Amino acid sequence: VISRTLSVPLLEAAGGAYLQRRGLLGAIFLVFVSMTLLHAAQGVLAEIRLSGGWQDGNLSVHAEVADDRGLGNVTFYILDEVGDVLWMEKRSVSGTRASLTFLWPVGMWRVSNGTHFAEPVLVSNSGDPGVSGSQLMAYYAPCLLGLSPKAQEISTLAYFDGTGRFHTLIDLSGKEYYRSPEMLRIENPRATFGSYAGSGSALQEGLSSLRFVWLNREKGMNTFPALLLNRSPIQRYALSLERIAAGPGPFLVEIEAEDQEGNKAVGSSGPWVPELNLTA
Amino acid sequence: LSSLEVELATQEWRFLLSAIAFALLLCASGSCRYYQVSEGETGWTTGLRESGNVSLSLYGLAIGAGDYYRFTEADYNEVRVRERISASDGTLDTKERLLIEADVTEDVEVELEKKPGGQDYTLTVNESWPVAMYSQRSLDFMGKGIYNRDSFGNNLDFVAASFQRVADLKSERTCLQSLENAWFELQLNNTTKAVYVDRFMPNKTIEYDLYSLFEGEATFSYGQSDGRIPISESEERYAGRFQLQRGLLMSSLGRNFTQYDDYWLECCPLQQKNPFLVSEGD
Repeated sequence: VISRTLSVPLLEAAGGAYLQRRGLLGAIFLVFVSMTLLHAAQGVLAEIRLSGGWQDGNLSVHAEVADDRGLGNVTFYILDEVGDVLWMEKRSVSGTRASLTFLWPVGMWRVSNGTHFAEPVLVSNSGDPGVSGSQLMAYYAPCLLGLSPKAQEISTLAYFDGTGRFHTLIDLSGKEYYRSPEMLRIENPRATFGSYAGSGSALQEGLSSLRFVWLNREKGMNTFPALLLNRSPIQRYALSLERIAAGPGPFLVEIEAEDQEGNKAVGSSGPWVPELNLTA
Repeated sequence: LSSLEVELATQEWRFLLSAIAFALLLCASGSCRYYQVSEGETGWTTGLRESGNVSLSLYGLAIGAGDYYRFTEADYNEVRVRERISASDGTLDTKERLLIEADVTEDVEVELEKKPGGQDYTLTVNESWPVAMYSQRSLDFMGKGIYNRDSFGNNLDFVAASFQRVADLKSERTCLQSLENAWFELQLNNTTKAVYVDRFMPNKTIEYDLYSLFEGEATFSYGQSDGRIPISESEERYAGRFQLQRGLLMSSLGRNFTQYDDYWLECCPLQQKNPFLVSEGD
């Protein structure tokens, strides 16, 4: 078990330089990784203890996290041998101590538009189970939206339900660019999707595109080639999220704990190699 | 009717009166016309030719979830479109446009000529009933299944695409068809009833483009005729997940070759498009 703390000045410098260099990508980086790093404050905080093992082909990781200032979020990462994030799961916790178990199904995320795909895409679980419609927003993936081929790209989050169906696209200011038929029905039961597709959706079939993101814990963020939205809005542009096998490994586990003040600490464990299940 | 009879009466065609039947009638609506010229003993016929002074413009879209059925059929002087769509339990987004213009203002010219010194006759039918037809459809379906077939025919040329047992279909299709005129020619001996020449030369074009992405079964076929004789045909079948894209341009100048001269290509735009033609010095 390794536990380390983050140096705030170094992170601020790295994040600032990254923002200068990457522009929009930096904005996403801000949301998903750097924002918390830039806000990472002041010193050493959480104590993280990890243990884990293979169970029925899944990697089970148990984390004991403690922080006297009060815990906020705990994020679980799976990295491949070059540091690319294959899996990410975020949980909200409270109190000064937490005992958490994460189960990784040796998978990673692929986003497809029906003809092309990108993997491993940075995806996070989301949503408050108590909020209406949250089951349609179980996962989100950061992406850059191009409304048309020459338009300036917009940082957005694409939301998917638990089965990988695309439901909404929202930018960082909260502006919505797409609403699925199910989402429309929840928000306005009397609305017809035909009228919404004709005037309500900002996306242009055959012109708009999304560039999804992959994250390397050392090198930062990058984007995949654009996926063109060339299907109908009623087909959700054929955009889907799919969990696929992660490969043979080895893999590294990282647990990032964030306290109520935004301070962060990271614990890591590995390498982990999936057990071979050889049967006659 | 009267114009045709008068014209024919001047051609000394009475030798064949008992054998050749003509009909040129006005439709009840007053805007459409049809005719058929046949030679009874040989079985030669122009077939029933029918069109009108009409235009049709249809466009629209449908988007929603559930079941969908569509039937379209139009036939103007053998320029045809036929569509069948049956979709069940799915989400569908389809947009369409259908434009048709047809003109039967010109009278059909029928001439019968007897060659001197024998019983050889030449019968010609010169028809100038132009038709232009443009059909465009985009279709996007996901669900339990869809059957989608469309076929276009233009005076014995045809192109057709069908998708069966398809759960996921995206297609964009356009088809432009035109018919400028048609020329029939029959040469026969009135004693032996031997047919020397049987020509059907429509001036026609089919320009067809298809882009499709599907999972299921699909068939694409076309056929081209020189006169009444099929000279090119093709059929493709697919089962699985495919992206299928096809572009097809079929045209026939409909010229009477007896009028050709040595430099007939110079008159035609095909000269610029023909990749096999090279200029001197190449």
